[in-house]
Amino acid sequence: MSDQLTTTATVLEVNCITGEQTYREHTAEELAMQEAYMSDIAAKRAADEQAQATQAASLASAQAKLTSLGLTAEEVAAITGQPVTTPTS
Amino acid sequence: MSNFLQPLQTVTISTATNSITFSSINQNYTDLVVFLSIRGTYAGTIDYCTSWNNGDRSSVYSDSNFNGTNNTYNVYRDNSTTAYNVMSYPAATSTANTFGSGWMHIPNYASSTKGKTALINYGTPMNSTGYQVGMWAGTYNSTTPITSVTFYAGNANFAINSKFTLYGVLRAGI
Repeated sequence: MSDQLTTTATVLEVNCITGEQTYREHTAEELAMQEAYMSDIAAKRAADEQAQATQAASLASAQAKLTSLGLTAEEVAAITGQPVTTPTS
Repeated sequence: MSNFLQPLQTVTISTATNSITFSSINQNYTDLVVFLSIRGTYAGTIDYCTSWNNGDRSSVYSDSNFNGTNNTYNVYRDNSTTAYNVMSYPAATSTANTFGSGWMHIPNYASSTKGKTALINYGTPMNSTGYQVGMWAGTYNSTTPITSVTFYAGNANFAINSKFTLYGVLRAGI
């Protein structure tokens, strides 16, 4: 994900008092901090997506069980608050 | 001094740049606002801008996002991170010459007694069928006054002609 970050990436610092703009390269420490942050966020996103997939599967399963009891799609949607989904597997 | 929006600095990127820092920010306003008009060089349709304050990379940030991407919506929450997310923006394979637009508002940035919360609204065109619009709320859980703000291009650089404008806000009645 962060493979395009390199030690030659450019940093621009703008002094809001003097207006001076200074370009420099990232330090190794700065790059390491940002790559650690992005790795952390990527892991959180993967966990979020897994949780959302699990929730969607549970919803579809619940809707299927309600349908098997004889409820119409509209009734299932009214109870679950979500349109009836079609199982994908 | 304006009692509305006082432009402090504007940066227009003239060479692909990975991060922008506004430093030595005047402490005499009530709020900070940053307008962002940005595009990225990452080899994808979209990239993500992050931000931190005062060069502080300790785990004192959190953020929450709600966005609509095409015809779906997404929500995200991050706790105890070393930066917060600001906005997505079009990248190299999105429609040419399109830029994402964002507005970032940081009330009470100079407070030495309050944590700081940034609110960001943004829109990101990607291509003829792709668009993301959303908002982030980012928390900087520190009582240290904000004297610098850094924006970081997620996976590559900010493209040429990306623009950042920092304003000081002086709220009336304070």
